[in-house]
Amino acid sequence: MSPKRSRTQDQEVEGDRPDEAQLDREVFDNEQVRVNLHALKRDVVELRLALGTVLGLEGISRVVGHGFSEVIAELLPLRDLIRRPPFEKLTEGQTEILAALSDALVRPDWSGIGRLDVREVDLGYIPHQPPPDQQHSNQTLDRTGTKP
Amino acid sequence: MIQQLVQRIVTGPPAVTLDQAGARVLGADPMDLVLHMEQVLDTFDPALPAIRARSTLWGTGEFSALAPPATAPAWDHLGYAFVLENTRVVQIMRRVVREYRSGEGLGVPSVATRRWLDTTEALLFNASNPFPAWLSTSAVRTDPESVRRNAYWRLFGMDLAFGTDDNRPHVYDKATAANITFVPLLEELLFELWQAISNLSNFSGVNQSDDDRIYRIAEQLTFILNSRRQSRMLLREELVATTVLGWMELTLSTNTPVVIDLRAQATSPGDRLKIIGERVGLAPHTRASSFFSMAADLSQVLRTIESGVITGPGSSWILYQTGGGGLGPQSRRVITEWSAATGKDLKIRARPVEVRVRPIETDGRRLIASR
Repeated sequence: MSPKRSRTQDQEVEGDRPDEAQLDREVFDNEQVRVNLHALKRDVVELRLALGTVLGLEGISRVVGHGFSEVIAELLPLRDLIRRPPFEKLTEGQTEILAALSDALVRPDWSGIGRLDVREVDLGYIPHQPPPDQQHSNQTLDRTGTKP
Repeated sequence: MIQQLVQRIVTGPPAVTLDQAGARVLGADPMDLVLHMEQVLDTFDPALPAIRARSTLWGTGEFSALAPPATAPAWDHLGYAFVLENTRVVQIMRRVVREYRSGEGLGVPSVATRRWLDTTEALLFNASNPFPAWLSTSAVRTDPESVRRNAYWRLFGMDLAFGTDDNRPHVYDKATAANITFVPLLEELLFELWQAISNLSNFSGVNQSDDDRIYRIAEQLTFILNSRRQSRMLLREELVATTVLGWMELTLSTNTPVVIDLRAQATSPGDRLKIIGERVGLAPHTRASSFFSMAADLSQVLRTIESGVITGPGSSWILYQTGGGGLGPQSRRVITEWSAATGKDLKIRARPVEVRVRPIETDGRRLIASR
């Protein structure tokens, strides 16, 4: 545009361009939309992160993407915390000693026995006559040796 | 020996039920029990010359066919007798015998109870039958309880928790050579075993079990226990003590004739003893139930330690692992009941073990590090 334009020309040009105030409004509106959009995007990212934390999707996506090897490598230091030397296998002599001690001390479990009755022999023939099956043996012990 | 004898009768041959086997032992003649005891001792320890007459005699006993294998002592460790005697069962039963023998204050005993009285007098109170129980007493050491107290003192450095029947101090020959470090060592071992047991199923966090320390303490216990056992010392005394206390345990294991005659039916040995104690005016130890509960397990743990089967940190697991020959359940029971009986919580360390480092001279100052 020539600096020596006439006023009429300038007025015509201004008539073709949008109103400046309106332009400013549109720019402002666009900026607002952009800011809002940015905030929304940020919220979405944060929500995804939160959701991933809650559901373990982060781990799942990593496992899907990289396999278990990466997770195992990261957890490896924890193994040192719980690792103990393997239990030593007993020698034959030790096993024999333990078995002998265990066998020697086996005891009954009385928990199921409510009552223990000791058998009492009924000597019913005292002072009565001995029962028939006892008579013969008693007679053989008879000092007199005489048969009844 | 008594409970093991019942078990051998159960397994036979011929196999019988537990109540039949228990009744057979409970109704046995005391002389048969005495003879079988000699047989059990000789089976394990033939180094002692068996007198021919005696060996002929035990061959005639009722239980002669039930000799145990010679691979290990077929009776409990002296620790079993110690914890059972701490219930005060012997002194309570002494009063029962006295009452029954001197009158009818407790009622008229049944035939089975009279047999029990015969056996109890012979086993526990030194009645001649025809010889005193297994020659562990004599004119020199007349009181069987004093003989047992002497053995407890020598092996464990401990006295019973009570004095005489009438609450006077019990006087007995106290040996100068006694394992007075036994209790601190055992309690330290139980603490370490609890750490190991509670870490057995750990998948995260620090594992605080220390196999090397368990081994070192167990080794020390083996040394001091075996030092009192040189040349098989205390073998006969141990067998006598565990047999008489085993007789008491069998008496209270279930509702036996004497328990029924004393109207002391209950569901546990501790409760039966408590009722009997009330009948004769002598209360048992307040923690009697704990003593009954841990007696057999303590016996097995001590026998294992004493056998020297734990030869290094790699085999410490025997004392806390479950299955595969491990004594985890037994150790756990001892930890729980020992804590209950002594009032010491073995699951937490009361105070850290003091470790004194050798003093170092630095700039004229003596530094002693401790933790």
